[in-house]
Amino acid sequence: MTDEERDQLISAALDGERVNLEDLRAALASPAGGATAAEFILLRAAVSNDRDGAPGVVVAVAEERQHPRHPWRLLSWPRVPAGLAASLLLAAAAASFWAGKSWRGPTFDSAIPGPAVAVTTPAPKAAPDIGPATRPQVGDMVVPPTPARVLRFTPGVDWHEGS
Amino acid sequence: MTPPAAEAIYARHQRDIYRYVLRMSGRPDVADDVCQDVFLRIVRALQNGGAVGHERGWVFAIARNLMADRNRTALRRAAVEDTSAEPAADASQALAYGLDEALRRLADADRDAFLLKEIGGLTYVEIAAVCSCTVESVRARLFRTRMQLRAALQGLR
Repeated sequence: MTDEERDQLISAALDGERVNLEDLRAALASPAGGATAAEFILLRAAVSNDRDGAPGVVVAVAEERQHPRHPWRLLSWPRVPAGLAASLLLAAAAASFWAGKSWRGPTFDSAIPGPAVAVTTPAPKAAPDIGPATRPQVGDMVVPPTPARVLRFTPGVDWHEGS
Repeated sequence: MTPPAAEAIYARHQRDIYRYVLRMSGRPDVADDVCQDVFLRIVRALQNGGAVGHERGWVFAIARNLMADRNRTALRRAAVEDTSAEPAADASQALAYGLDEALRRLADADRDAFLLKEIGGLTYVEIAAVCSCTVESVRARLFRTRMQLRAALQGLR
């Protein structure tokens, strides 16, 4: 039996597994085998030493987690004020929309007569009679009037003085 | 309403489940959470009419599966960072601290089998069923783990 086989046998025996008793006796009889067994037992004791360190897990907490959506949970803080605020905001928005859609501007009572106002507008001017011709002909041109006074420009003479 | 059988089953194994998860994760808050989830799983299983074979192995399998759902690598890394500066007041504390450190350095599968044996008290056959491996593999894991822990703790005594 090799050292590894010996230690493996001791390990299995400590775990309560079925082993050959003669082989186990021989393994434990050797100094190395005895030391191995002692080390394994100490190791088991070290692992078991934290047995008291485990806190108790409350069953009720776990049970509560099983049903995380109880109806009354919806009424818990801060869901209530948040829900109320959201409802008010929604109602205000709906009311504003309805009011804006239904308002048609200011209305007047037709039974009350309004003030009488007389408005006089000038008669429209008659359009000038331009005659039937649309294009003036040379023969139709009007002779310009004869001038009543003729002023002649003479260089060096101030024409303002005599006038 | 909680079935009375669920409370009884949980009460029988609660303490060791907590120790197992605490050793696996290194975090008390995770151990608390997993213990509560184990209780819920027990309740649901019984409500659904699930058959409970070997009770202790079944409960530890639930805890182990819940642990597997979490990112154990990240949890362990965080736990190591949290506790690395803790001083040891006396020899007993030094041994406990050394054991914690040695357990953390183990491979997950080895630590799992070791804790299922030492804390859960499961047989090789039950551990093999929980871990989905062979009995020989369990035997080898336990022996390997013991030798590693023995070597790690020799300097502390």
